[in-house]
Amino acid sequence: MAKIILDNIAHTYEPNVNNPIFALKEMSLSWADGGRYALLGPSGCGKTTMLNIMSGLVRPSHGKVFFDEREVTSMITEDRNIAQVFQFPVIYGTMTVYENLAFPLKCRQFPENQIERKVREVAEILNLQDYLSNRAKGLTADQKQLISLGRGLVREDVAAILMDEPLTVIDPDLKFRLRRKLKEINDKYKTTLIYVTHDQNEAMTFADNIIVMDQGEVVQAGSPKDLFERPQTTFVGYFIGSPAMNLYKCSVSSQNEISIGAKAFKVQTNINSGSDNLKLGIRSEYITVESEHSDNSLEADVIEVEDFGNYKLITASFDSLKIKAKVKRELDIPSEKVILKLPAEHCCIYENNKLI
Amino acid sequence: MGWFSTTPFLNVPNSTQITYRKSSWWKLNQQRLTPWIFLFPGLLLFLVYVIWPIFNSLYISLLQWDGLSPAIYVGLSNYIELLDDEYFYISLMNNLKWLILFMLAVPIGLGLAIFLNQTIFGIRLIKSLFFFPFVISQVVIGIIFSWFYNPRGVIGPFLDKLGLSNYAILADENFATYGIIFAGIYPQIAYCMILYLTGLNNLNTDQIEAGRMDGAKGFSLFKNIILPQLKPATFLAIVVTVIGSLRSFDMVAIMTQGGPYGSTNVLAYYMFETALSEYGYRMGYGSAIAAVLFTIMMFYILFFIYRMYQSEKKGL
Repeated sequence: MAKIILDNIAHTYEPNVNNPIFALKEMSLSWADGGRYALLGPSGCGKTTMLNIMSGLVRPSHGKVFFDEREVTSMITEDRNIAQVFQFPVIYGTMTVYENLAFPLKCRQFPENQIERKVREVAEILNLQDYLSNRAKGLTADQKQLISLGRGLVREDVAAILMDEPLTVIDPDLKFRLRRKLKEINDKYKTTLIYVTHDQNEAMTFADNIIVMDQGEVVQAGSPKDLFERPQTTFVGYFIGSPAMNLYKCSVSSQNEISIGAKAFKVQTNINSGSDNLKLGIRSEYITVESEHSDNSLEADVIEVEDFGNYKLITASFDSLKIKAKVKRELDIPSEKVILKLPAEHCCIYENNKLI
Repeated sequence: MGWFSTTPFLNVPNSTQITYRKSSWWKLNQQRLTPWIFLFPGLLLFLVYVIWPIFNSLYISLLQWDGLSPAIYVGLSNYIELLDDEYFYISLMNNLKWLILFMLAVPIGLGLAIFLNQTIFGIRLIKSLFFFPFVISQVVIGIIFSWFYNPRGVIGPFLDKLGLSNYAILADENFATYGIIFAGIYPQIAYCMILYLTGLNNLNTDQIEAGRMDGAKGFSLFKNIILPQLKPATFLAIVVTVIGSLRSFDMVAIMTQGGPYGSTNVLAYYMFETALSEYGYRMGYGSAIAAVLFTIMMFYILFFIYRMYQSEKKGL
């Protein structure tokens, strides 16, 4: 177990080109020992590159990697003591489940009795104890993925278990169970788990810290609550949450007031900027339906009301702006005009797509 | 309209009567027949050039026939004669030697493939050069090796230094077979190497990376992670090598013609010698040898088909 520190890391896959494209732009990050992290971002944003830098499969073009105080930048994977679970289950087909789980310990020449104790313990946690003598080849996809995971868990001193979209090939109901299992494991063993995904729900339910990446950069790192309530960039607001955050071009009218077209809204942000690239962002969950006008309310034309069972999603238009509001399903929505309120405390103001 | 109400269900107007679409026999059986139609040309050729000759040889093996004169039915006497034929046993033993030593081509081919499986400049040229022995004619290889073995050839001077002056392996009845097998292995190694090179190209990198993270190094990584993934290539390499060793003919024909004193004969060559060369024109006897060779191969092939079927049933 170790704290993992990435110090001014950057990586390009074309080191010999003059102006190379960086898959990972320069950044520093540290991962606390025993943390449960999710690395979230669209395909091609550099998630896997970052993972491979930590595991040692890729050597970064710039910067250093530390496990605690030990520099491991040029250390090969075999010596780093790290485990990785891949998108597709990796099992050693010629071996039994027991042999699969014992393999990492065998390679490190642990004594036989210690191997057996550890393998049985891990098999129990993963509900694989009944399959220990079966050939790993014949198991189901989720059991195979558990074996991949188990091979990381048998090593008590593993620095971290890196998971690269590990649940992609698993059925939805099993996904849920496995995610819970991962949480249990993290609670019990305090193993650092780093989970790469492009699915925000997976990230939100799994991690206590989410690192959102876009185009080779970390755009925000924080708890699921932070990401939801105060997205640092419009990308995060757009990428996280369903539906995406409502975003409108706006202009400053006074320090705590902005205007969209002719309509003025109070906000709690102190805006001192004269930038003309300002945006107002608000989550559809925070928009309320009111019976009469007050501050920050507007009257919009209802375009569509969709009933999702546990909530209703209103799509309305105001001055050619589209507003999406998520409301309780019991609420009666007028069919033509609706008064919507954008509470000042939930309005985020973005200058050049960055939160003020 | 009183009659109508009493029999309302029987009176169905003509226009609403259900008509079944007439389907031709072809339409109904199309799905089932199509594969057979596509297979037909192949099956026909297989029947004419493989199945029929097999049964015809089995029949000829019961005859005494020189190919021209009328054939005489002699029952199993060709087979009985075979049991007492010294040269038959020599050929059979030589086939066994071929079989065992030929298997060396598989690990050597694997070794070469791993050696060549790297990304350096010009590796493709080097790979094709290593594959060259398989591309050139066996006749050429046989002639080249005959020249190698010649006391005045390439290895002669080295043998002189070892105290074996004027030693010609192909003239030594105890070792000539090994000399031929060595020449025969040379292109076979290239073949196995190519099979393994393709296998190495298709390795699952995830599995290797996971293995490395699990701490597998060197031989452990090779044995536990790489070799199992090469299983299909190994299977193919063993099959072609075994078959190649059993039907060895050309090398023997080129290098020694079975000599000295029949000591390098193999079943395929001995069959040719008795049936079709100036030594005999004994079609029946040659066919009996062919039948024995066929039986050995059949056992082996059935064993492999069974193995293949079993592993496919297990889902791999």
